[in-house]
Amino acid sequence: MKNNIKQFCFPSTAKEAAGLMARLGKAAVVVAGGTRHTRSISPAVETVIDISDLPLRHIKADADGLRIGALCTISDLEKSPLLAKWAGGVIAKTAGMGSNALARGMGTVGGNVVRPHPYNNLPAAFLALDAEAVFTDGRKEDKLPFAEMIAGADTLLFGHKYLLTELRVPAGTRSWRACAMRLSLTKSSWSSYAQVVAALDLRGGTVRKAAVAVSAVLPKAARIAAAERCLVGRPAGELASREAADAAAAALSSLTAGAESRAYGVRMAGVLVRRALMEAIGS
Amino acid sequence: MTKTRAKTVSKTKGRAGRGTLKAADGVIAITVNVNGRDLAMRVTPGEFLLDALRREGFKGVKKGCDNGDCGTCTILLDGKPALSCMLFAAQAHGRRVVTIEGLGTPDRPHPIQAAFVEAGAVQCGFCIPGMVLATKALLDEDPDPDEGAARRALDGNLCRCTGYVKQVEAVLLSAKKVKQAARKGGRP
Repeated sequence: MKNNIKQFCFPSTAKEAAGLMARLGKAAVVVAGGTRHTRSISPAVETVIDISDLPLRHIKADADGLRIGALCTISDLEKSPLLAKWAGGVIAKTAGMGSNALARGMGTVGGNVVRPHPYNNLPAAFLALDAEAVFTDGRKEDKLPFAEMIAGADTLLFGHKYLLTELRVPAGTRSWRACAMRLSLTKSSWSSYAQVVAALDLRGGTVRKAAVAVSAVLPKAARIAAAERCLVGRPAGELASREAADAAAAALSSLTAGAESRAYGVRMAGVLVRRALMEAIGS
Repeated sequence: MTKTRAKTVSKTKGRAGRGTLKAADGVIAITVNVNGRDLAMRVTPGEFLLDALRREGFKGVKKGCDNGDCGTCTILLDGKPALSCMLFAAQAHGRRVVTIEGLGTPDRPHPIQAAFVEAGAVQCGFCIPGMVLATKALLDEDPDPDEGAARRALDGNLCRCTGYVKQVEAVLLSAKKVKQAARKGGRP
């Protein structure tokens, strides 16, 4: 029981929702799927803004790329025929990783990526595919790189001042070879030791662009530039993949300051980077 | 955020206008369609759907972990499985809820319930309402699931008595029974 709550609002447009967020500030919280907020609402919150009626549950492709509405459930992504064909199906595969069918059927893309917990599965995929976040403050729509949304200076404003409405994935990534891997106690565990998404743009067997994103090991999902540098301009294969994996493990070890509690995850992330790269190359 | 391009916000309308629900004397009045009947409920604003349903007599909605981990409180919300312990009762305002009581009765069980009994999938039974509803949602979407799909559909419903083998068998048997009942012009 949350005794502090006094009202529920069900906006029907993104503008209306963002207007409510702006007007009510920290006295309001936005909920959609209900899996993240309802059990941990701040005592300061008096209004729940339920955005589940907003028309933001679409997965479509146009000339600019892929457009995924923020209210798609994680299961929607997992079962989407369009996503199954995009970049080796890496978004769909990532969506199906972790947690259980009930949680994936309730949880939304927006909830998974706005202020993402390190174990949330989707941020690594959107990072690897150079996604953009589209959002509104109720007055205008704007967009910014997904990486900036989850790690930039304004990250805490999402869900309070800014309402995420859509994620866009560039059209050029459609033919990328990509693979997601995750190591957890069970397939249904929400938490994991390490999760990796590797994506490659290959031209004639040579890596033109590479993306290696890791989550669970760090406080936020992140691209590992040192690993990507080992791949770009080189023939796609075992040698480059091994070097990228070693570089990823070294970079993660440095980023976690060699913390013993993270050592296993760092080591496994290196293993997963190599395996994901090899599977992406072979796909 | 200054580098990016600005556009006017789309004014596309949402699917429903449920407006605002305000508490009066600490209570919110909501209407939820439960098992096919519109039910007017008075709930406290911070009350969870699980507790509200149980108070209204739907005791088949079980209270287990109360934290979204065990799946015993599973209901169908607008036809999709949902954890009622993770939703405020007010969030169900204007929506359709199906609980285990909405499927069948001891005298006239739903084919899925009959399959769970026939397969010997029930021991203490506490987790079964959630599993039956998860199975219903699966079969509504995929009438002919394989074992992998059955396992995935139940992976959010914990059972502390058995090893899930019988329940997975029950899901596959349910698919057969639901199809048989449909051929005979029955309820599913």
